[in-house]
Amino acid sequence: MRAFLITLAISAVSFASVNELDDKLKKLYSLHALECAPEELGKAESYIETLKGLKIKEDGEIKKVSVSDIDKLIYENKARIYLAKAEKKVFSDIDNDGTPCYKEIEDGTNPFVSDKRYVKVKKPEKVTKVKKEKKPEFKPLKTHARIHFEFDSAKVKKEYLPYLNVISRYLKTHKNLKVKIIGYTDSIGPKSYNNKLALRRAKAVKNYLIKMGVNPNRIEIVGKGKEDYLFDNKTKLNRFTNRRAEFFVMETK
Amino acid sequence: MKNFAIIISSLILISSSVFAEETVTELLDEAQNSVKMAFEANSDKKSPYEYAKAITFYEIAKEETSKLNVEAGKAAALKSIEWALRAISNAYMGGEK
Repeated sequence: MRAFLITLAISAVSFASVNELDDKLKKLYSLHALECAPEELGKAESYIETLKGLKIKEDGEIKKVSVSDIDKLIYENKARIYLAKAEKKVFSDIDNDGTPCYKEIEDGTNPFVSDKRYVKVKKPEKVTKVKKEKKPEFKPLKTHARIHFEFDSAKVKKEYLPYLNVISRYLKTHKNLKVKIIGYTDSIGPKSYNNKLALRRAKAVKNYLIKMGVNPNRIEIVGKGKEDYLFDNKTKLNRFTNRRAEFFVMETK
Repeated sequence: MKNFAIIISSLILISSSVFAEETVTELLDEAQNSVKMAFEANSDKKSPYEYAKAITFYEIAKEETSKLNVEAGKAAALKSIEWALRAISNAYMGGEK
């Protein structure tokens, strides 16, 4: 009686687990396991069919053949293992394209071939070097650019005005530059007077540049009377050459 | 090719009745040959589901026969032959199911 009850209990448990396995199998079928994990599905299904009972024809009659209880447990275990493997494959991304296998089947794509190759990879746009348009620039200042003055005069001559205009525009476009203007004289007259005259010459140029829009803070003036002659003062032309204002362009730090 | 598939399919249908009279050892031999044929037809790649079933039923048949459960062994061997033939058929049909 006791043995009968135990057998009955095992049968009940087995029946319940077979149903459970069957449900899992159906679920996997709905998740396209046949395409994603056909091998695992086939193996699991074979064990489940054996658990349910194999059919055999004997004497013209179809008969169900069952296996022993121990074998049932073994096959059940194996069926579970293969179902788990199949489930893992169904939810895995076989081709490493970010989409699980079952989803790819639903979408109609090949789960074993990465869809990445179908996606057009945007080539990084070529960085085309934008050619800087050359703005019409004025000639850069020479360090020894200079203008000349009449005798005992600090008035900027008209002929030099276009030249000063160029300088002022250049300074306006190059904000990092400063200009130092040094006024000079010839050798005629006392030193103190010539110093003042030299400074007036430099100041005259400065005023013109300010008038043209250059910031006064960027202009430095110095007067050097009777100093640093370019030529000797023996001829009229040499003296004229020595009466000058020179520009020294400096870059601010 | 289609004729071949039809022949295979009809073989599947009649196999159970023909092999029913065989002994379990003969059936196991037949199952082994069928699985071998299926493998040679590249069924493991072209028709993996059917091939896996054939292999598993053959394993079950061997297991049951070794435990003297002859009837279960016979039934499993027959199933193995049936699925091996299906696998061959599918392989020749280009892996269609």
